Amino acid sequence: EEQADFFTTKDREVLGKGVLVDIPEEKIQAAAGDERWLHTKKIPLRGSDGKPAFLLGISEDITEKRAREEELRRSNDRFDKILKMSPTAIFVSEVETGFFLYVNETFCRLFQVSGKEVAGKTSVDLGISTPERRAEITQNMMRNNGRVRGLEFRYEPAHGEAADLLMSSEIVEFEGKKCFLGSISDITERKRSEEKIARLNDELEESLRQLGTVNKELEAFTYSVSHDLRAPLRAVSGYANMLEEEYNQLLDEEGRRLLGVIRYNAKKMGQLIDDLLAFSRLGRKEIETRPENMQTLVEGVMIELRKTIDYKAKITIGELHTANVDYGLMHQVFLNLISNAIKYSSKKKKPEISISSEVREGEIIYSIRDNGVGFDMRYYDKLFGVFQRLHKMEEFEGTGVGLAIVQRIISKHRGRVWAEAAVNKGANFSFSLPAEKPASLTQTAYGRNQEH
Amino acid sequence: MAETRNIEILLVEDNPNDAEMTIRALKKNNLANNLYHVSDGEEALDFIFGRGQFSDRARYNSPKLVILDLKLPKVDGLEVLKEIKENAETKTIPVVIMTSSREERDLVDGYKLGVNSYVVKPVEFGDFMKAVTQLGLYWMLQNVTAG
Repeated sequence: EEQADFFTTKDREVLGKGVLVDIPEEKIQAAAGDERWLHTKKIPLRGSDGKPAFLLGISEDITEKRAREEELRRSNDRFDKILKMSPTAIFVSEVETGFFLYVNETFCRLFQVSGKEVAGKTSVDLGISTPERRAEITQNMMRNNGRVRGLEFRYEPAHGEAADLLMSSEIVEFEGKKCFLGSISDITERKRSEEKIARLNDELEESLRQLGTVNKELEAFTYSVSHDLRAPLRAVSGYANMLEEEYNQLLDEEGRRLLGVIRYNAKKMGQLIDDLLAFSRLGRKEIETRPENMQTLVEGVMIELRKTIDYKAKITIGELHTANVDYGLMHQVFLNLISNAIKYSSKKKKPEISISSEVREGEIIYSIRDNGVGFDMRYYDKLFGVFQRLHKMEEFEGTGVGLAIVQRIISKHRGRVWAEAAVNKGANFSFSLPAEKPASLTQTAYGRNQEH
Repeated sequence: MAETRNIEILLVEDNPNDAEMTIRALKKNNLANNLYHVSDGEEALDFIFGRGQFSDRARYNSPKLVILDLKLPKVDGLEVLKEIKENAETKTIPVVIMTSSREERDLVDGYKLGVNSYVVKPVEFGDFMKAVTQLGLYWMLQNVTAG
């Protein structure tokens, strides 16, 4: 109904005025029911009397065309928004003249210019660049067919802080002209961070170098001290021995006792020097690990112990997991721990020691348990210290380096050592090793638990 | 100047205490009768090659055994060892190296100078005899009194 009205009004207008009416857009309801857009021209046709007698209507269905134009408009809108909002400065400049044709908001903010200012100006005009730099950059761009990627340059404005910028560009056609389309980002922050990292790395390297030097000096010192201490010690021991051999009969009981104290302490000092050297040697030694059969390793330790110590303890060795270890160093660990267990349980009527292993949360844990005198957990902190002892010399012999050595070796294996004990209720020393491969129980030739 | 003609053992040791203890141990076992003691590397080489203060000594009359300490003034023990082993006339002279530790022994091995006999200071007589046996110096064993 409405449509009909519209049409007839227009028609009468044409006939009445006798002029051509151009309706660029009119929406109609098509017969099929959908909306279409028409571009209609109504042309009056004059009759023989010269007056408009007929109406010629020509309609073009511009629905698709209109839709395309809509889409284009929407697309342009989108790009406009993107360009506007982009945190990167974007510009379009004419290749021939260098004039800016378009800059986005970020560009304006970055270079302290307004969108209107840039028209008809080059980067030099706006104080963004110098003629030399501009020529260089332009040449650079032309060489690569306008394509530039990641060109860094410094921006030093007359007012304000300098900044480090990063530019990329392409040649495009814009409003019929050959133009550079480019984007510029402010990388000042990034560059500061990079410089800071480089500086920190240099400092780190320097510290490492110094550390290396200090370590070397320390080792040389320890070695030479231990070494030079041996000579006079040799004399003390040796001459005390000679005295005893040649003049023992001239000494009374007290004289002999005093001489004995001299010899005893000289021997002790010798042991201290040896232990100190062993401890310092650990620092220099490179650790080489391989999968080793712990059962065999502990067997070897027991053989050695049987030669040097006369012990009465009953030692039970369970099935021990294979692990990646340095054979020599691990031998030392078990030697120290087992001889400690023997030593500190030696005063019991029925000394018992058991060695076992288990896998717990991706680690292999080896334990050596004894039923000896134990120790007071209050002094746990001192347990692994060098030359720290928790028992009097009269009670148990020792220099106090054994456990410190064990701890050093285990930490080189990236494991942990710890102990649990109670006074007179024995002790349990354990250490962990990372289980890099699935741990396997080693098979012994003689069967499960072996007793020694 | 002591008679240097029939020296059987040359002891090269700069520490007087170490020297005394070593000579004592050898004396107790009847091996020190023809022993000569020098206190630095230069003297050792002069003695062996018949130069300097020992230029009157006949060079073909080499000592039958050299007991050599490593840390020596003037010419170092390893230098002395090297010169002895690199000279055609003297390279067959047996040398027992005295070391203060096993670490030192490893050091010497590193020089690969063909040494195969060591004793650790202080020189325990038992160890000394083992070294001497290793060198094939069985004649020395004949001089040792029982006990």
